[in-house]
This record gives sequence, C-alpha cells and structure tokens, in this order.
Amino acid sequence: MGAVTGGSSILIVEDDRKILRVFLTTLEAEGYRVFDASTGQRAIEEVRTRNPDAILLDLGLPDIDGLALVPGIRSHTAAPIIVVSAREQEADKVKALDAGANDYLTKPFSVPELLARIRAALRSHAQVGEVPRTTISFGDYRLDLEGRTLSRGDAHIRLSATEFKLLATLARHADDVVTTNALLKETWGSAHYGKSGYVRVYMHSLRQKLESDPTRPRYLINEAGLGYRLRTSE
Amino acid sequence: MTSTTATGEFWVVKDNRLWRFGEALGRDLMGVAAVAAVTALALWLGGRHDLTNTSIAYLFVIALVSTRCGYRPAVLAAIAGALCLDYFFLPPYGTLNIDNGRDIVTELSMLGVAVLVSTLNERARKQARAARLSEHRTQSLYALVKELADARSIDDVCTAGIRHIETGIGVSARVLIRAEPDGFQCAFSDYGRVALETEDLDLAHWVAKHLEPAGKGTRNTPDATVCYIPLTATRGCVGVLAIRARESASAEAIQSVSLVQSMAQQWAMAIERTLLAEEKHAVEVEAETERIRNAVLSAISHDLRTPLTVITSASSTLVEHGDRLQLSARAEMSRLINDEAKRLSDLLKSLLDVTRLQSGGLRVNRDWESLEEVMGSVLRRVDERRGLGRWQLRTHVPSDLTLVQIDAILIEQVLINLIDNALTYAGNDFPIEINIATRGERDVMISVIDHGGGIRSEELPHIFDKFYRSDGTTGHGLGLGLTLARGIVEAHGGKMWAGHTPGGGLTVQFTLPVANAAPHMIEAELSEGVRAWGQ
Repeated sequence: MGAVTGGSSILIVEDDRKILRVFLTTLEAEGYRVFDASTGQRAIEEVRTRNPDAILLDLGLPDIDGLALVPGIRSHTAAPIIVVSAREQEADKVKALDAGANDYLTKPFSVPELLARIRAALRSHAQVGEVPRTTISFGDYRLDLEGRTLSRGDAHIRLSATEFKLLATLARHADDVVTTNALLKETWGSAHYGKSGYVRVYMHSLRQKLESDPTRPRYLINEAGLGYRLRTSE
Repeated sequence: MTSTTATGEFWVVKDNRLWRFGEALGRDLMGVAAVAAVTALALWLGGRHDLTNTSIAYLFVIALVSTRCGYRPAVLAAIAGALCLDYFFLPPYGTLNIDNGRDIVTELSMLGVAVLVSTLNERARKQARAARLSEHRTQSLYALVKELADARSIDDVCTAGIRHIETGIGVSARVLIRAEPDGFQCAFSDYGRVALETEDLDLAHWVAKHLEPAGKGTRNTPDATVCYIPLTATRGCVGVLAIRARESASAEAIQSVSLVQSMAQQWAMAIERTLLAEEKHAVEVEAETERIRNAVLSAISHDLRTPLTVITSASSTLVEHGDRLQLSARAEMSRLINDEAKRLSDLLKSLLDVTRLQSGGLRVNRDWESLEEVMGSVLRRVDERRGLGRWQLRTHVPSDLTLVQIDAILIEQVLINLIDNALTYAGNDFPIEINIATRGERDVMISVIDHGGGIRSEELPHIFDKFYRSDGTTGHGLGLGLTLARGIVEAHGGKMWAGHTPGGGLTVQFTLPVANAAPHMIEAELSEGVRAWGQ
C-alpha cells in the first residue's frame, strides 16, 4: 500500500531525537513527506504553515503537554490527530480523544501498526473540506445518513431510532475512536454523561444485528476503557 | 487475707477502710440497740415474772441480728442480752450478781444458744458467699476463655482480656506486652493500643524480671498507685497487667484475688499463643520475601538478560558485518531483534504491573462494561500477538447481555494472561475454552479451560505465587501472569482459583461480583424503540 500515500504530509510532534529518527526514516521510506516539531509552539506553527495531512502527537513527553496541544491544533486544522501514549495514560487518551484527537497508539508499537493507523486516518479524512459523506460502507453494509437506512445488499436492516443514531455517530467518525462519553452526548444528549451502560446495551444489540460472531466483531470494534470505532476497512 | 499474699484485694480495701469501719460500727450498734429495745419491752410487760419468755425474746432478737448484721454484732448482742437478763430480770435486780444455780443455768444456756445460732448463721452466710463468688468466678473465666479462643490477633486478645478483667473485678486495667529479649513492645487499654507510659515501665520491668507482683497493695513498692501483676505462660513472662481500683468496685468483686490470678493465667496463655503465631507468620513472610528477592534477582539476571544478549549480539552483527551477510541472514537477525525486544517489553510490563499491584498503586476504574465486548477486544489482542488462526478457541458467552462494573482494561489483562498461560503450557494444538456464566444474581463466573498436559496436583496451590513457574519450564515469562490476574480479580472483589480439567489440562476460574443496580434501564426502551427506519 506504500504507493497509495501520494506524498501526504505528516507532522510528528516528538522531542526524543532517537524515536523521531526512527519515525522519520520509516515514514519517508513509505513515501510520506515528514516534518517534526519538538515544542508545542513549533507544532502549532508547523500546522499553520505546512497544513499537514495527519499529525502524530506524543502525549507523554516531558517538555510538551501533548494533551493541551490537541485543541490548539484542532482549531487550525481538521486533519486527523493520532496521539501516542504510554499504557498508563488511559485517562489522558480519553481526554485527548474527547478534545478532538482521532486515534491513538500505545507505546511500544510496531511500525506496521503505525503505518496502518496513519493509512486509515488519511483515508477516512480524504474528503475533509468537501461535502461530508452521506453514505458509508463497511463490509457488505451500506449506511445512508440522509435516508436513514442501513442495508446489506438489497435487504434493509431494521434498527431502532437509538441504534441508528449510535451507528450514525460512529459512521461520521468512521475508523476513528469515538469515546463512550462522546457517543452518549451525541446520541442521548449531555445530560446522560457517565451512563456508559446505555452505550453498552445498544452496542450489544447493534452487534447482534450486524456481526456474525458478536464476540469477534469485524465492524463495531470496542477499545477497552476508551470507546468504539466503526471499522470500514479490514 | 493479709497484704502479704501474692496478689491482693488490699489496694481496694485500704482505700475504703474508713467507710467500712463506720459501716461495721453501725451494725454493732444496731445489734445492741435491738437488745435494748427488747429489754425495755420485757420490763414494761413484766418479764420478771416470766423468765422463760423473756429469754426466748432475747434469743429471737439475737438470731435476727445474726441473720441481718453478721457474726460480730450477734455475739455482741448475745453478751449484751446476757448482761441485761442478769441485771434486770434475775434477782437480785439491779446487780450482776446471781443468787441461785437455776438462774445461772438460764443465763449460760441463753448465751450459749445465742452464740451457737450466730455461728451457724455465719457459716451458712460464708458458704453462700463462697458459692456466689465461685459462680461469678466461673462465669467470668468462662466468658474470658470463650472470647480468647476466638481472638486471633494480639490486639483482640488484649482488649478482650482487659474488658473481662475490668468488668469481672471492677478495676481499670492496662496490659504491657513484652518484647524479646526484654523490654516492652506495646501496651493496650480497653479501647485498643495505647502508648507505653514511662511511669509504668520501671515497675513493669521489675515485675517481668522477678515474676512477682509489685506496686500498690503488694510487698514491693506498695506506695505506688497501680498494681502490676506478671502474666506468666510456658516460656516465661509474656506481659504485665497493670490494674488500678475504681471507685465503683463492688465489695464482692474486689475480693476475688484468685479470680485475677486465674484470669491472668488464661490470658497469659492466649497472649503467648498469639505472639507465637505472629512470630511464625513473620518468619514465613521473611522467607517469602527472601524467595521473591531471589526470584527477582534471577529474573533480572536471566530472563531479562537473555533477550538483551540476543538483541545486542544480533544488532552488533548487523552493524559490524551487515554488508557481508546474506539477505536472508540479515532478515533473520532483524527478526530476532524484533522478537526479543517484544519479549523484553512484555517482561518489563509484567514486572511493572506486579510492582504496581503490590504497592497498592493499582487503580480500578470501574464502569459498566459488557463482558461480550471485553471478550471481543481480548480475542483481537491475542490474535494480534499470536497471529490470526494460529490458535484455537471455543467460547460460550451467553447471548443475553451481562453488564458488570469492572475496569475493562484490567479484566482484559486478566483474560489475556490466562489465555497466554494456557497457550504456553498446553500448546496451540488444543483449543482453549472460555465459558462465561452468570451464577444467580450474585456474580459472573468465567472459566478458561485448556486440554493440554495440565500440572501436578501439588503444583496447584502455587501457580498464583509470584515468580512461580511450572517445573521444567523456563523462558516463557517471569511467572507473574497468574499472580497479576488473581490480584486484579481480587481488587474487583472477585475470587480466582485453579483445578484440573476433566480428561487433562488446567482450568482457571474466576468470579466477578454483579452489582445490584445493573442498568436494565433501557430494556423497556429497547423493546419499544424497535421500529424500522426508511421503510
């Protein structure tokens, strides 16, 4: 898939030179144009001047409060932000995702993992700036946000109003992680903050309807402690 | 009893001496007054003509005094009665002289009968009191022994003992527990541990050394305000009991010196038993700590160094001779580095996790989670690590939704560790079974079953021990996976245990409690909301 990158540009916010070196080498070898920033201020500048297609942001760096950077970056660009964090920073991950980050990577991760995330992020945000997509396909399913239908081939799948809202929310952020609280807010309204049980119940019924093996879901992926993602590509 | 007995009532008796003296004097006077009243009555009724009835009246009053007031007032009353009879009723009247022998017999038999009745009465009273004391003593001892038998910690033993001594004898008590080889380690009052007070220590040291009571009411330093009694068990003095009388102490209770001794003896045995148990436990903990220390050293020196050695040698080969190596050899070196680095990362992760678990740094962020989802992400993770299709699994997850309040990330870790363990020891050839079943309303039980070779029965109790690895297996990990899994489950209020799989293999099971308020809130909404869109 290396050839598909089409020279997309990626900004890496990372202050460890060695890790940066590995990222730069790997991503450049894949055909990406890569910039780096080692301070928060520099990162915002790079976002404004270079308008990267994706941003890789390390949350756990001593000199940069990565979490505080997310809203700043988001205010300048709609490009996907992938946060990189250590395993112990679950809470930070959720905050970053809620603040506008699109995906996360947990250290230590492998290069194929990194590349897969970047590809997925670039693909699902390819139409950013144009008219938002009104139909989203995953597997054999086709979700029509305007007509409010879900179909598999010619067959309609019956969904309750809430199930549809939930699926539509995930579909609007296809391939991104949507936190449980973000799902609650978009589907039920902000008054239901913290009632994650709602989401679990409806995700369960959605999986029963859409997945052939609900314990090994292909589309409605649970990210433990974080939220859910609708996987549109294998 | 005298104040030279081993332990005594004295410290209380002395306090109340004046009051008791006044009380005794009052009773004596009451007896004499009763005799005077009878004398006056008999004179008025003309008792001089009926000596028999007069004598009987005196006897009656003396018997009454003996019953009501005790032995001494009765004897005093008898003497007073004899003198009155002689002075007022036996001729010549108004003198203590007696003319004829018959009157002497009357006089002496009245005195004799009066003393006899008083003595008999006194004996009966003594016996009754002894019986009461003995009953009180038996009850107090029984209550103490019963409670001591249930007490496990030194704290329980000491507070129970103090409570019983205080209520049984009516004193304020403290106990000082000895520390080996000498000195005292701690003190207890009725509400628990208190500070060791320096005023106690001097006498307590003396008591512990000489195994003799000291302080108030004893031969040794009797001017102290507190009495110190040694608590002696089989291996010597285990502690010192310090008692101080209370104002409200009942006369009966205070005199139970032997009760103090019996209680102190029972108590000393219980304290010794607890101290021995605690010492034994400390020794075991010490041994366990030693074992873990060795295991950590061996883990660091061997298990962590092995991957490092591979990485160092493979990478240096690439750096120094990379250009001379064949393409396949270079790929092999890189793959080795990659694999070993992953292994190193896993080892470090489990070491960190166990350290966090042990130091109490494990935070459980509970949320309503679906076990079906947790299973889903577990399977995805194991697939990522082991390779899709490289292992087999059969799951039995109930299709109705089970929501539990857990930390999904931690429980995911538990399941991954159990699956890893099963795959490591049973191999990839046998499918692993995972069953989830709700047990009533109380909890959910999750079983991870493998059909491999299993382990020997004597290994079963140890598989959750830190750094334990089944015999003959090395290099798979640090032996922390199951320790961590159990720790996490216990932090959730669940239990984890292991057994043999029928037909061979290992079964590890754990429970997770189901909170009462599971959110069934939207069940109704679910059924009502099922309407099709776009049709």
